[in-house]
Amino acid sequence: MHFLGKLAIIKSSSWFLLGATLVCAVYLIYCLIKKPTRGIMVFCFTVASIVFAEIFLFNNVFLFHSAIHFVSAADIGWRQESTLYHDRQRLINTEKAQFLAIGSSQTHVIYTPYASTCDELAVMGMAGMGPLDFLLYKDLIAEEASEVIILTLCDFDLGRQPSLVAAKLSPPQRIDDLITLAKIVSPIASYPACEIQDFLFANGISAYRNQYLYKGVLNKLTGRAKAFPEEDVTLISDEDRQIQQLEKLRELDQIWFELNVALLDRFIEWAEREALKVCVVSGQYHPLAMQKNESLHKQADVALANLCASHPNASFIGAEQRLSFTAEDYVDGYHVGPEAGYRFTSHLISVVSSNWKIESSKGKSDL
Amino acid sequence: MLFNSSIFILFLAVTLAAYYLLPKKGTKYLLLAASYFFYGWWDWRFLGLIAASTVIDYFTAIGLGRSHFPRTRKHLLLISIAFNLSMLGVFKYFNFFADTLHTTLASFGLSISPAHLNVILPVGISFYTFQTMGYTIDVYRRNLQPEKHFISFATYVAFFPQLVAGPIERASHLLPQIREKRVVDKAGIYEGLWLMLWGYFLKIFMADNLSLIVDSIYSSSQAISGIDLIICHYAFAFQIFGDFAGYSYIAIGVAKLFGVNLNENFLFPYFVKTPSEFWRNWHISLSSWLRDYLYRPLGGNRVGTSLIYRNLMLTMILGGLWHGAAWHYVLWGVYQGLILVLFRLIPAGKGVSSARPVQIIRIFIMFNLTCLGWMIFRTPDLTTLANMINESFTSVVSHPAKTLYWSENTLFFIGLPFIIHLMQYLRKRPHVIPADNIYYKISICIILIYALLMYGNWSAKNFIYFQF
Repeated sequence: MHFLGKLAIIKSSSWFLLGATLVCAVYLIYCLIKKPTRGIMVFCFTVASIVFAEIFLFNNVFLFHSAIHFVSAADIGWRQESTLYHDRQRLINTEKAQFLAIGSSQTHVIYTPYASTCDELAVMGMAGMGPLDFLLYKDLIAEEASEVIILTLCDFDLGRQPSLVAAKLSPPQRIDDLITLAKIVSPIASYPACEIQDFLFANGISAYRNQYLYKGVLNKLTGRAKAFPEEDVTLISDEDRQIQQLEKLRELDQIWFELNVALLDRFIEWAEREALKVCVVSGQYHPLAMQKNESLHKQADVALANLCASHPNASFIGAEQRLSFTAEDYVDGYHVGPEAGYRFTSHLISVVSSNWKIESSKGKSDL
Repeated sequence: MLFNSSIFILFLAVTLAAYYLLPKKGTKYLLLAASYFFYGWWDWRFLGLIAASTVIDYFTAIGLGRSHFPRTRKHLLLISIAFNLSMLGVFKYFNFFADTLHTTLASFGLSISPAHLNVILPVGISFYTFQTMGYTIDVYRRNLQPEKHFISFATYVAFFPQLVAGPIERASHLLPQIREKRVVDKAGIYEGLWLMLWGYFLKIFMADNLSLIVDSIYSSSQAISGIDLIICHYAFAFQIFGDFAGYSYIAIGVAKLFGVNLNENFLFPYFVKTPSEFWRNWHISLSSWLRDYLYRPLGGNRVGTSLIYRNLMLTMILGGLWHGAAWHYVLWGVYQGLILVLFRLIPAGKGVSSARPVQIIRIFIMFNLTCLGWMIFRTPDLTTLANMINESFTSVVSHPAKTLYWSENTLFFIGLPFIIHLMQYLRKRPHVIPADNIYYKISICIILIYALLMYGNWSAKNFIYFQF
């Protein structure tokens, strides 16, 4: 029952909720001093009802805990499933890990097999997570990382326009952070007005952000997963899907490097202020696609190495220092199997530890 | 600019702030400018059409007011009607009639090259042309004095809350409110805000979620079973109500924030027992327009029985055609005319027990007749309609999981709005929160807001009636 360790409301980043709680507290004091007027009572009833609804629906650890067991990625989507897990984590006491690997589903499959055997490594791997998301999830990252953040990046991450659609699931942002993000992104990339509106709306209103969960629960209750139009994966063979994925990997474009590197630069600056080290590892994907994108892949490595060189708290681990995956290690176009992931991670942790002269804490949890 | 878009909320906030800050004299000009901005946001080129309609009807009405010669007056009225109908003819009906002519001639072996106008349908054209035509007809009948102040008249034509999808306002009701100083009181603001919330709830929570179900049934690659068809058409009945009534409530609510009272457009239309009662409660502003400017001039009920039936059929067919230039709308009009005639032939109300269960059964029968009509209304063409009906009799439930999903979701998205609507019906007060106690009222509002945020379909879908 350690998840009851902290009061949900205290962990909430909703300023509205905190403001409303303060108003209620002031009201209670007022009631003790003077008989309230009808107008004040109505106002306070409204505020109290909203606070109750917010806690009951969106800041309640029981809700997220039950939801994790009730809905699956098939009901709500991969990114949403990870969001649900991290929404629960925000509301419970968690020990900080020495190493935190952050990134997309590739990161998740590479690092999770090793992380599940010890406490020194934690993983925050969400479908499609990229440099923009690193900044959006930085508060959560600060709660989970104690020493080193591991980012496994390559042209796969730098050659795509950051997505706002998934970004709407991120924790609420402060206004100054949003302004900073807009300053970085707007000169390079443009987004449809509806996506910006959707992102801002989700950022300000928890009920809207949590639509994914409530609609997922409804779909599950009404006996149908994947309620909203989605590709029927059962119609495509594994082989065809892998070919499709490899084709997609050829759509990567260098024009997005500038924006993604700028976002990473900002993220490493933030990590420096938080006294966190950032270890950028040269990423990889299926060798068949990597051969076709060789030039782009090398350019990404150069850009990342240069970026790390400009920050005292960052280091770059190139292809020669980490293990390389073979075609047999891949279960599809992007993801490796658990054994390959474990092998890669255990080697990498030893490299990172020796580079930063960090004493590994592996095995502490077993004592 | 859609009511369910963030740009509209911003526009409304800025316009309201300016409206409350400006001296009373300037508010009329502000409303006109805001209305033209609102319409021009969609496509500024079509502002010319509204402006032309305004100028023509303003001057013909002034002429009608001054002239005492019946012949001159008739000519002036014809100018106004011809102009407005030709706008509708060109932008809405030309391609439909050209296609129909082409198909008809082709069936006789005659071939002509089909003439097509490459124009898009200006949003709300059917609404504001009917509104201005109603005005000139009223002035012609001397039921109304012509408006001398041009800005007041232009604001009446273009008043943004009801410009693109009604209610179609009568000049005798709206013009005086625009001409005189409007008073915005606290009660009006509360009522306006509630109506906006209720309208958004009907549209975003109910209609737009039901539209996902209806569209997926229509686009289903598998054969539609009878049960699917029933689910689909119950869902569509509530979708179209939520969509259109939702729009009307938002329009009435927004107008109230400016101190303007618009006419009622929906009055519990699914709780009626006869078709004539239905038309007194559904899209009231259009049905009363058709009654006053078409049905009654044709003779209305003051003629022989067969002529009454003719008048009913003609009015409903033209009403159907008003909704869109397609044969299924005409067929829907024929269907509505037929059930009106049928209920006249069988006076359903006479001699029937007034016991509550009997009344509930009558409401249920009428609701199902209405749903049958919506099936004709919704189906994109007559072939699809015939296929769907055929499939529904021959196909069994082939995908029970989908059927279950559709039915349970339909019930979920209808459930809460139906409870609130039923509470309003039992109180016979459509404009207020159905509760007496302030704490219950607040609770209802909070429930609606959270349901809207958590389950609303916020993809800013168009309103169905915009296409008309």
